[in-house]
Amino acid sequence: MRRRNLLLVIIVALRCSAQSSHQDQDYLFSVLPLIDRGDLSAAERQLLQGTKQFPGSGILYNALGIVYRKEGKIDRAAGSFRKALELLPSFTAAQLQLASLDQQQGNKREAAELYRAAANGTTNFEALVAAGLGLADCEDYSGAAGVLSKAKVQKPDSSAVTYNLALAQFKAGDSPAAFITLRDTGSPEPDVLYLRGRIMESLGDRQGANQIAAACRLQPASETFCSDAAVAAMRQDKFVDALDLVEPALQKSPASVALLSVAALAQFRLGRYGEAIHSYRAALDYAPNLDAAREGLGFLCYMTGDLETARTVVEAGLQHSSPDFYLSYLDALILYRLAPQWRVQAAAALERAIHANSRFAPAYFLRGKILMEQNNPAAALMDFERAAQIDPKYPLPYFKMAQIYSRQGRTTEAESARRRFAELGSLREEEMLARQAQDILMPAQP
Amino acid sequence: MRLGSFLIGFAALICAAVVKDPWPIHFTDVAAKAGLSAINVSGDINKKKYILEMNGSGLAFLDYNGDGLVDLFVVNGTTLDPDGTSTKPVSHLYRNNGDGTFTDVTREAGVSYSGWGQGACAGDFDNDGREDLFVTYYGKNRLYHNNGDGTFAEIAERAGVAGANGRWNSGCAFVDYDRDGKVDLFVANYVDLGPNFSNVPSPGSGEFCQYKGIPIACGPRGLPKAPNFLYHNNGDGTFTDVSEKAGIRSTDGHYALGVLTFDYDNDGWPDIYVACDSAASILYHNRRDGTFEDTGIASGLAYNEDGEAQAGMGVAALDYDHDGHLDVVKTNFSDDSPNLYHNNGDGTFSDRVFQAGLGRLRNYLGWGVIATDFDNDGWTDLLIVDGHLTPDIDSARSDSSYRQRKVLYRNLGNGRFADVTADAGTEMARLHSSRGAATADLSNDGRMAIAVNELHESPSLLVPETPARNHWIGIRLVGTKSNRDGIGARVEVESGGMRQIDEVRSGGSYLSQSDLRLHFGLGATVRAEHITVRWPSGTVDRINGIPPDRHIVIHEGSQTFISGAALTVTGTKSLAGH
Repeated sequence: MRRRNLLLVIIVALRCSAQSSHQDQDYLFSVLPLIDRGDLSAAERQLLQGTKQFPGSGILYNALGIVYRKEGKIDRAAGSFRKALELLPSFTAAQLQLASLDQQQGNKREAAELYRAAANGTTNFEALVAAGLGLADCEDYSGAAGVLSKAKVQKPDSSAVTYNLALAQFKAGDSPAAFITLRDTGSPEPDVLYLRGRIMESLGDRQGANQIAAACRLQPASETFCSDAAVAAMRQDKFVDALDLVEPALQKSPASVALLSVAALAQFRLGRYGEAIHSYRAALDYAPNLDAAREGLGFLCYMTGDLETARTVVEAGLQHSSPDFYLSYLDALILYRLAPQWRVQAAAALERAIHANSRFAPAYFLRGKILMEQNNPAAALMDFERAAQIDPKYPLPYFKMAQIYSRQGRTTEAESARRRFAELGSLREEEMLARQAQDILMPAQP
Repeated sequence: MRLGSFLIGFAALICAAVVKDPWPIHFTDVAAKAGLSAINVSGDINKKKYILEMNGSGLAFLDYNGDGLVDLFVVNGTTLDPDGTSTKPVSHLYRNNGDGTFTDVTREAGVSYSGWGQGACAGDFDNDGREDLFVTYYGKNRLYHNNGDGTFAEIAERAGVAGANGRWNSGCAFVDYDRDGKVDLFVANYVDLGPNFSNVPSPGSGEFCQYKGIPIACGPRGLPKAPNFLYHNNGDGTFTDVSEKAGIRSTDGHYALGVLTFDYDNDGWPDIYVACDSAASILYHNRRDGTFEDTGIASGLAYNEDGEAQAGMGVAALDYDHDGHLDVVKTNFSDDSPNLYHNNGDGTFSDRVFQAGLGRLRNYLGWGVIATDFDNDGWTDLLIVDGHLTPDIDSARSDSSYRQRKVLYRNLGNGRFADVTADAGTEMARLHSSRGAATADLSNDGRMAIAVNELHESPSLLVPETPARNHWIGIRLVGTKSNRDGIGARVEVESGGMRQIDEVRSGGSYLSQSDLRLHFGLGATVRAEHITVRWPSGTVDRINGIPPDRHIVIHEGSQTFISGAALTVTGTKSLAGH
């Protein structure tokens, strides 16, 4: 979430502490300059003294909590905020402070409850914004959207609130509402364009890609905007456009692994295999443990027929402690194609891939092929059936099933498998592999 | 020790020594010098609006005038607006003068015709001893009957093989599918473009009108498919369309291009394999009763080994590993590999393209493919000619390009091939956008020349510079009970411990026709010990002790051969019966 005009908690504390006495408020004002100066020890001493002088003052305990927090004394800070809430159960500032502390410590559930309580107990704009943002940070996007909506009623022209509300709605899965929230924002700011683009994409509006692209063009130094813009363009098969977006961004951030990886994917889909290999290599130079780049490079070497290099690249990645399952699968693909003498190793690589991800249909398909070659049609059939079960739209297992049935004289079953294969339609290897690689290598749809 | 084993082992050593030599054949492109000057036309040179403009054409080697020298017919396309051009492009017939030059005899031979020419195949359909020529078109086909006086008569309509206007006929082959002694005719069809291209969306307008992000002419996917045709030879100069009856139509629609006839299951009956673009390729298995069934999927020839569709273009048969079964090579689109389908001998094939070393050049778009023994070492080599669809491809900056080199693969004799293009002369590696390709022994000296139909250029004619290094033998068959050309006859040559097979074949490659005579390299062996011919009629001729380095003629049932060089009977009765 974007934090603009984030409230000064102290001020809110004062505004919200209607139940406090004037004396303790005056006392607090005398301490504030110390806090402002950063003289936290003196402020702590003064506030401790104040809490003795005004033991029922929630605002002093709240202020003490803030000072403790600044000093890094987290437990004491939490204790002070709790004490403040004991004294003033609806004390919004303390609720927000304690919520923020809980959130920082990973207690999102408790934090969210406090944020909700704070929002319910106030009409203060800044407090509502703080509670809304806090809820968003606690991943309660629906709650955040509700709170920020209230803030927006108060200040309809606040671009920050509008943006954050739309973002919360989008993240809550309410893209239509998010779109309406952002619709009238004429802001040409890159982050607004970017968010609007993402929202439109989620609504299936292909024009969303143009918004994200505009954000990238306005802010080419943003890895996120430009890599996402390129991905959005690639989803529409506009690979040249994708590269046009990502190349200027790469000039500004040549070491960006995200941009290099996206550029490589676009280059790959444009058939610029040499350039794609170069990009993936660069990404790997910057991030040697990045499985996605290694998978991309290995895959491209495999695709272009350079099986020996593909094997070297992939097997180097397999030395790492917990490689991605796709690396093992790629290893198997390469070994299978390299020469028949590597079948045992290919099968072992497949076992590793399946162990790491038992829901990846192509791994079963390849293992089935090996079993078929080893004259074990029963086991091969089981693998093909498993592959088809995992991915019912995957045509290739049916092709192999038809072959096995046909060779076993099981004509009815062969015909049925053949029909299913024909219904699903067969793509070319390039398309099949490109889709598979794209699924693996491309960031998921928003 | 058994002597037989020793001899075979010794022969293998000799062969191995031959294989290890540097590639000996340098090719020179003599097309311009030889007079092959006509430029291929296939729509607009730069902007291709329709897929029809991109596929180019084939060519055919045939000895049209019976002088023993193989001539060349180069199929040509036309423009989308033929009326707007001053001279209409036509296909060209070039007569081989025997001195390294050709004469363009198109007009006097009566084959001057302008249209969207696609492919050509040769065969003596009326068994009169003269090669006839069938030319496929987008539009009506042409059947040129050889008059025997250096001219042809176009009789397609009368013979019943012209087809209908608007049909996109592609590959063709004469094949005696019912072994009645008369060659029938198979004609593949590619896409149903509709009248005036009405079935075709404009470039870039749909899913199948893009290539790597650039708009190109649509298809074939997304366009209506077209049916294939089988015409039965009635023996009276006419044919009957038996496509339905023979089961040719029992397959789903396919985008069919290259046609290969061969007996894949060694049952003596010709089968038909059709390379299909972006769809399952078809293997029409001959059921020996006048009908066919598609065994493409069951045999493994329909797709690649995984069941992925490929964009099949050209096809060739060869027994690359000398196991007595004809294997298949198919060229495919870029970002893919060709196929080397190894014939397992049980009705199935396994794609061994990667094992064989043919799968590395994946940015080449293959069209024509020639399987012959260029270096005469006894192992059939391969030539694949390549080129992309349209010059627009170059704007994509992809690793693939519109003009591509040819790739010459040497058969290493161990199940593997090596790319020897770089050693075959600079003109072999020159960039073109190649389509049809065929081979022939133009000078009757054992050097196999290569003709290639280059898109928007004059053809290439690549001829070996130096005399043949190893021994060889060329075989022409003359059928008496069987069809006159011996099309479909299986020939086995045993020499130096090697056993090679091939078949007389009409059509093949990408919409092209190679020399109807068979060519076998013999390596260092100074004679072919045995030649066995299994004719379509069932007759078997076996001839022994044939001297090398000559073309011979074998008449069906004669058990002898005639030396093509001296035209004297030098054969002996087969010893098989003794």
